[in-house]
Amino acid sequence: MIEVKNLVKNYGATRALDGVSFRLETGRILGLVGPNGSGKSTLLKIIAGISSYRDGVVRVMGEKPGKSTRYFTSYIPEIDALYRDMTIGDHVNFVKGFVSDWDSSREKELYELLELHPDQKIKSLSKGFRKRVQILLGLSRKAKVFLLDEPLSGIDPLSRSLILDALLKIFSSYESTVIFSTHIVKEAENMFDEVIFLKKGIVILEGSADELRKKFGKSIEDIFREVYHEHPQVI
Amino acid sequence: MNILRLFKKELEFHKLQAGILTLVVFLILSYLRGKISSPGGFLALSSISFVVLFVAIFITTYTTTKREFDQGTIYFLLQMPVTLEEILVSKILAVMFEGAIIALLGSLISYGYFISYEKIPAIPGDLVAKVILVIVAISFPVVTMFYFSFAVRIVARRFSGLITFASVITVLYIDKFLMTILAPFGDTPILIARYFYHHIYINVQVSLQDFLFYLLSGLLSVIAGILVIKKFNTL
Repeated sequence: MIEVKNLVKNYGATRALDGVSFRLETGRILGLVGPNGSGKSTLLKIIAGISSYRDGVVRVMGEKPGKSTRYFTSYIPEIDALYRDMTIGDHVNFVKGFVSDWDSSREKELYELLELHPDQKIKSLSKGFRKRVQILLGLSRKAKVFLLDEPLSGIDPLSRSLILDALLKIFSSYESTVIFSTHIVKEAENMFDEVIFLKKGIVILEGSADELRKKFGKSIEDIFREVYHEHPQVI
Repeated sequence: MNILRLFKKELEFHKLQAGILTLVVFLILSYLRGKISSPGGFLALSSISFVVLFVAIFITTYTTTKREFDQGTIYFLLQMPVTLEEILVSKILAVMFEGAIIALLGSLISYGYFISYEKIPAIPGDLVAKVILVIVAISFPVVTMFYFSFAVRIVARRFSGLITFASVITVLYIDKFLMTILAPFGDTPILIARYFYHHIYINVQVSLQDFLFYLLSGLLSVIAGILVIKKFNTL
């Protein structure tokens, strides 16, 4: 379970998160949606225990985020966080050494599904392939919690579709708690059990995906468009 | 254990600039020590060497840590159950280890060279010894140049070829100049090498005092690094 209460985070004079609260039960998938600069990445970094915060309470499986929660949390950052001079296999071996929940059979499966090879050097890969590597590293773990920061952004449709296939396969195969941040809602919304709409660090709309669809009579994608672009009065 | 894994990664994929800087510092200090004969001079130099070693270790560690932040690879490391402090300590240990190995190699090369030189008259058929000495005298600058080009490639990728070429030409000119000066003594590579290295030969071998300075500098670097991280961490 992930619990966030009145979370406040500042970057200098800028308030990145302002009183964010939510509770995500074990085994649920939360879609964290919002435009760029809405605070999605900051929130995920805090839950991953990478970033500090000013006020509020954050608990991941009952623990304060940090080194101890990273033993059971798999975080896939938005930015390209791979070593250019290393191969994919080097990255895999490095991560394997730190965690006990590495699943080698899933690793093999993902190598095939994402069309990757351990001997490929990171510097020889395109952006879409580097994203695939990050997905491979994050999803080869049988983690209790997955934090995916914009796994679909800035990549070609083929990579996006392969990554979505991998995500669907993994998350339907066993119970894990997932937070999936994105501004590409259309392709990912079927995965979401819960949805939080963030804007300038504030939660402007939240609820179960089915309830929101029922309440507004629209898809999450259409609600997203209305909330942020066309009819802000929906909220 | 986590620090050891990070340390191993640093050694495997770390660039050589840390070792080069440490070697340069060692050589300069050794050279100066060879020049100073008064006890007061030694004392002053000891204080200087402590400060210089500290600055060298700290700067090289700072550079490699900053690169992790700039290139985003810090997020890759922080996906694992490690703290920023552990990452920093592993980097400092790697810098010190690499520096010590390179300084030791430099020491062994100069030691082996001068032992051979002193024994030249006693070696029967000293042509062989002379050939060996010439090879050492030539290979040492070549190895240094190799390291230099490596370092240049890291800091100035774009003009690395040009800078290395210009440096080689400069060194050749200096070499020619020294040959002129040494001409009265016979312009063999052995004499040139002797001119360069005889101070180093006496002093480059790491004394207990140097070693303690080295450890203390490392410890101070850890403290300073952690303070810097606490102060300027913008994650």
